[in-house]
Amino acid sequence: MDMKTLIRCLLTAFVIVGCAPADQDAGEEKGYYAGKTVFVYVGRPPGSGADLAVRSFVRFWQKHIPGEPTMVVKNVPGGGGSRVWNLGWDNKKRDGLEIFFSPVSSTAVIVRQPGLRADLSEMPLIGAMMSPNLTYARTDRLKNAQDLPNVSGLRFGGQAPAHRFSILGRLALDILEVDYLNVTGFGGASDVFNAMRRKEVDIQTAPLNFYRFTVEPNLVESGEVVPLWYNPLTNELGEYIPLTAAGDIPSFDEYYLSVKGEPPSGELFEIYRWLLPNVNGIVYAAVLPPGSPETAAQILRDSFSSVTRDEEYQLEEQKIFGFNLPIVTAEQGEHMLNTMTHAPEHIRNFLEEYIRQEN
Amino acid sequence: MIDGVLAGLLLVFSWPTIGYLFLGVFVGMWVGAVPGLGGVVGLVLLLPFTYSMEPVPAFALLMGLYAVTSTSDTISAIMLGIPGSVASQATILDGYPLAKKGQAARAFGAAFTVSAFGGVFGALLMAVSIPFILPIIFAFGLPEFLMLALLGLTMVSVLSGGSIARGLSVAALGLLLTTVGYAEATVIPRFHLGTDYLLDGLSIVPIALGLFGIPELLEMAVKNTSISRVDMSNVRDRGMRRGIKDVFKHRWLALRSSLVGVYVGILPGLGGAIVDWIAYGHAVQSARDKSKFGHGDIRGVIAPEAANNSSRAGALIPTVAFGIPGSPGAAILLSALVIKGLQPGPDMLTVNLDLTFSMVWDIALANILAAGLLMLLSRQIGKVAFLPAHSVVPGVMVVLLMGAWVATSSMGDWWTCLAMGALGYAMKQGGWPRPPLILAFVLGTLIENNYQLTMQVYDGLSWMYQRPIVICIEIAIVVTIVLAARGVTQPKPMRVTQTDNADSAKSLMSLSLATALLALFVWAYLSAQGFDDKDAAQFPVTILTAGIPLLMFVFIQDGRNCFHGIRACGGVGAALHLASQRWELWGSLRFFALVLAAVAMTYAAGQQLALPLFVALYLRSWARFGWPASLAYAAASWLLIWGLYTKALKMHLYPSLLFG
Repeated sequence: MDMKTLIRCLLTAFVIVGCAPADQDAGEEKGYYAGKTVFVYVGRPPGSGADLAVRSFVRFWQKHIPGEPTMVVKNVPGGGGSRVWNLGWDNKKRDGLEIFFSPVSSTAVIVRQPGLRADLSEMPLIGAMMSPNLTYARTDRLKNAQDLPNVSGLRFGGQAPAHRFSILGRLALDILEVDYLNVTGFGGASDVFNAMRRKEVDIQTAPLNFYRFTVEPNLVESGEVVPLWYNPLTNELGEYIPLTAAGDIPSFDEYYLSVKGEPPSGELFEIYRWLLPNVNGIVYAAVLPPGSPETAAQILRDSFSSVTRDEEYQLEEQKIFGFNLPIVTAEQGEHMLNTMTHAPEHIRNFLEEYIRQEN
Repeated sequence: MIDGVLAGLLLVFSWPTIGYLFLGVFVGMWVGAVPGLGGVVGLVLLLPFTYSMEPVPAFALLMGLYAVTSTSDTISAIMLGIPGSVASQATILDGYPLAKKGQAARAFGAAFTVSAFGGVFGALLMAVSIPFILPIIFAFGLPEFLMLALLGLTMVSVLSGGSIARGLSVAALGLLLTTVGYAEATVIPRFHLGTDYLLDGLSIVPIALGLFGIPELLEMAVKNTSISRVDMSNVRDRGMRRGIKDVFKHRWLALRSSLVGVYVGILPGLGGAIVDWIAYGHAVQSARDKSKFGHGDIRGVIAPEAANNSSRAGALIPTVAFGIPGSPGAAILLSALVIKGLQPGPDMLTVNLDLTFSMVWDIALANILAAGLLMLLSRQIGKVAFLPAHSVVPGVMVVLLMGAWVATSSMGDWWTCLAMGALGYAMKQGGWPRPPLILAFVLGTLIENNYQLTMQVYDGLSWMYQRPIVICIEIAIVVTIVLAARGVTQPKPMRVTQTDNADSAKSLMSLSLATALLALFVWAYLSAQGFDDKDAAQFPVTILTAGIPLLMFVFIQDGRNCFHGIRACGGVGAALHLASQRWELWGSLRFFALVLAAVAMTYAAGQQLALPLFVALYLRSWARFGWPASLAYAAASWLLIWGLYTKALKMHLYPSLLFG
């Protein structure tokens, strides 16, 4: 064996040895999910907005997980959205083959609602998404969007009293000192919307995609409804994230400034500001049961993140939502869930009392 | 508009759209026929396949399924007395008695013919109604929905047999069951007894399967009789053709019921649940001779079947054109629209009018196709009614238990199903109507929400006398109750005579049931008084305030009947002895014990093993089948659970304690 051949052999061996761990990891990653079936549970009924969001995400997720497992979405609605988290918390199969991907009942987490047994801060987070929302009103009794604080007896239509849209909508109206009647207990955003079309309620807070696909073509274009403000998303420093998808609709702060001539302030506004990153910040979360293997969690986190960069998925999101949902990394999300779970006493007490108030 | 109609028709007949429509119809017939599955499960199964399809074929596939589940669910309603879905409840009242008389094929002939007619008529009527649909939908506000739900409930309570007081008491029980767990407008869970399962509220599927299915299977098993109580050779002119002729004979009823279906079907969240009852009520009230209703009158099949199929078309247009889904199935169709990048709204009536009309044609063609295919099969399906009970009961019991499992995949669903089976048995023996419980359960949440929202929005009770539609519905409710009370729309309440031991046994069971329900109502009333949230207590307290006096009335009536019955029998001991014979008490207890053994085996070994074991045990120990037949039947049920539920539907079974 001459020197040249020896060097070539050594180099080859070096390359093989050097690459081996990486290949082994890749093999392990690929092997973990290859040929498996992963069940994804969503805590809302088939056909709901959350169901649509999860199903469209899962279609792409499947291709991004090494080994391309079969993924099956199952609906487990109930308990005001808490049932799915309880199912994950109690789950004995901790093999990374069961993912719980659903809207987080943020206020239920903060006030430790009796029905929610799961401690989301103890469940490995794979990834999460933010979802902006906005408030709009019927135009019958408003001259224009700026006229809201001058009109009395308006009816705010809300879902369950603890629902985030009920809380955020009411808080904003209270900060603006609007004289309104709180009509609570509608089953979903479309039920409030139907009541709005029948002139039974005047104001609603709903997801931006619902506004874009249902409210705008049916009522905004005909001039029956006017958008008022959007409730902004914030980053981990509490700074507002610019929301281009909202177009020329102002944020709540901007709206307040335009009608009151000064920026919003006060105790209610402080609560509103505290809620924004938590209530708005982590709307759809994907978690594993506590004690699931870290290998599985990491594979799922990487693939989750990879989906959000997939151009095809982004196009699909544009088609479904009209914009791309901002993504929350596992680290950011775990921080948010931890903050919600261990919310300051005064925030929790305030919310408990606020939820129970009738008007 | 004519252009849109024709363009839509051409789209449907283009390839591969027509092929997908056929496929959707096949899947729809299958999921509709298996109790516990139904349209929503089918749509969820098919939805992922449509992601990469063009909109027209995608909707042909989905609409094919959506349109026909209410046709094929008639099979279990007529053959087993089990509603395949909410839409086929009213069909049971006369369809099942027809099957018992050996006339299942006739009932199928009428049901499938009128389903096709209703589906096509509904689709066409809806197409021409598009311009004025929106004002109709929005004329119905929160108070109108509330009153319409109450009208539906009243009709069921007074039309489904037994006394009015019993019917209304059962409706109160159904409403009370909807208050278990969290409500939309309240922040505290109710009546959950500290269990997680009840915290989520009860599911309709195990309740309906238990209440209707178990008592019928039990009776078949205990008496070892076929579904038909009449031998095949003794039934003349039982065929499908007679059913078709019946539809032509009662064509105006079919037409009127289809109209009811379309225009009640457009009401979001409500139409699909009550439409068959309103049509059935109309059939009873418009008939000269009402005596045969509830005992196998073909008009009692024609009216609800015409209405429930035409209502599918009625529910479609508000979904597509106005973004208002009226049912879970319609909500999935709305999702499919969004996935295809289509905006529900005015665009669907202008830019995409051809697509909207292609969906209308999908519904019309799917109904014709399904009716034709089911008619081809109906003679064979009808023969099942003449098979010996023991060859039918274990297989249906497996399907029934797995159907109950579909709801939430929790053992709680099985316990609910069994509890409802026991209740259904007692109600059947005591002569209490069962349909009001189901409809009340379906409508309960809507009634509570709409009541609370109406009180908030309309401030007080002024809406009760200031809104014309509300006043009309109130009059309809009063007329329905008055006519029923005068005995015009129902059979005379039972009276015990000295010679009638059957009625004596019935009133003994009825008294026991009234006592148990009275105790339950009183407990619930006292519990509701302790709720922290007064809104949470309001609805159950209202129901119970009406329900307790009604039950007391029934209690007194039954007490009197029992007293006469006991005297006629010669003492309490003799009366109980006769009653237990009449109830087939020991056989019934044995049946329940066998089912409970299946549940216990499931805890230990999971359903995949426990249910085939149940089948083998039933066939060997009860039906005295030989080992080869028992094992072959058990193997077939194993294959069914494995193939249909775990592989096709990807359902999780209960984890076996023994085998992991």
